[in-house]
Amino acid sequence: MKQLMRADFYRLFRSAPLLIALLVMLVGDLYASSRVDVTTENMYDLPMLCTMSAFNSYAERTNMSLNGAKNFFIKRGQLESSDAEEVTEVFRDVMPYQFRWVLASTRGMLFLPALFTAFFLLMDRQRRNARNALYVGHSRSALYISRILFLFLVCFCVSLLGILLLAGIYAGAVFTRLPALYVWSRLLLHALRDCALVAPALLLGLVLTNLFFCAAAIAAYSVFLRFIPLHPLTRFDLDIWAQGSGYVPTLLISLGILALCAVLGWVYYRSSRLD
Amino acid sequence: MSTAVLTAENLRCVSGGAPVLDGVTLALYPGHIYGLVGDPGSGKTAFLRCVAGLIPLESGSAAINGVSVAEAASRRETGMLVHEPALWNELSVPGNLEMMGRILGKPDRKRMGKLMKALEILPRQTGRRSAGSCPASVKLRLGTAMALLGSPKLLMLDNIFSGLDSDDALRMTELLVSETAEREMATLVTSPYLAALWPLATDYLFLHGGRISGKYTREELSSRLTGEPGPETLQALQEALKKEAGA
Repeated sequence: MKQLMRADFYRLFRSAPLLIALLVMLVGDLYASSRVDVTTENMYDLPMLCTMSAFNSYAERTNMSLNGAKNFFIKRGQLESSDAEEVTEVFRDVMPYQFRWVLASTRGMLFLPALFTAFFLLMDRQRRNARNALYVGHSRSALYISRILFLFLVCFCVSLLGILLLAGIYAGAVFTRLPALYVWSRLLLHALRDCALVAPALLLGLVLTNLFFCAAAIAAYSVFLRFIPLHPLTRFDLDIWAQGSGYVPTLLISLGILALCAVLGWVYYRSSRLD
Repeated sequence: MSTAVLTAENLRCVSGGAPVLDGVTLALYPGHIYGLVGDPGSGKTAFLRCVAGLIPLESGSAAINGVSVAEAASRRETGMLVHEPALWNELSVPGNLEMMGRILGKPDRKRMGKLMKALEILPRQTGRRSAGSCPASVKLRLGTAMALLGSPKLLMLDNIFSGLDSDDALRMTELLVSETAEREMATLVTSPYLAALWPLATDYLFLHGGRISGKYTREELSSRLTGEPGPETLQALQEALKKEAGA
């Protein structure tokens, strides 16, 4: 299986269509990051303040007191309490919420990894490349597992890169002001959650044989994710970044969706013709 | 005689609801090149697909080195080209061999170079273009090189001579003869025409309607030829054998 994954990564970096798809994903990440509509002019009107330095300069300009700073966020519903002893420390307690807000805007990027997943599977099937692995003793199950692991790793890395970009651009202070374990565990969970949202594309890529229909189905699914606020995973956006709560349910739901899609995909793949 | 690399016993396979192989019994031994001859639809490709595990066995058995073909592990030392080469079209010719080497777990660049040279598919001969844009004959030679890359004990090639000109066919024949002898490999090559396999095979199996209708050595067939072996005499012999078998 390791051999098959190594071969897939070799192919990813040597094959022009896949490399272009990968680059489009990365550029899409950058584009989506730049689309977060935050400027120094409007940042005070937004539900969350976006940078610690912006808050500090705002507090300095308005001669905000410690209690005034705390009340500023409590009134906005972004803070329940804070043990900060200086005005500049108050923002630390708001960060998880601010972080959440910034990262919630990444959902629009899921379309590209989903399309990449379907594109990879379609290319593989149309050219019957899977046969080469079967001819030399790899089992169908090894082939399937290597495929989904490869796709998961690619989508996970792309998603994580997008999140890092967003966090770096708009909430960079969290890396120095919040505990590293807290920040990284949430970043990784966010990427995992994105992969769970992309996972249905695996099924579309396996079942649909036409790239156009497949892309249309994925676009429809992306719109559904974007505009249906009651989707079970998107609801967890509200909790992932809060201290203590939301982490485990999101982790379990994400893993559950990934496992379900992988099992359903296998049910289809095990009996599908590979020649 | 040494142990058979591939054995099939009363093999029956069904594809699309219809039997494509029925009661096939044969054994392939190392160092021999077998020609599997049969009309289109006779079950040649189906036999290879069955051994490749692409279609399940309905009844009977088939084993490679004693391990049932139903198990993927049986094919650890095989090389196959079934129906047409399954190339990674967007990769170059060496890129395809590199991919195959990685799938095998041992990208042996020396062997890749040797095979590319023997089959005249070196980058300076094919250009730097992708495999998908290469002519059919290059694709066939590349597919054969990919099948040979892992130094298999059992090599099965489907209808490879149909898209090759005489020079390419000669080079392919020379390579298969030397590889079979050097590596003590059992090689099976299919074709609808006995004449296409005559310069290559040492043993012949005739397939009709999913059944083996005859097994002959080259000497046995030579003794039945009415003249010098040429396309016409070999075609006549093939027709005669078909009639004899009641096909």
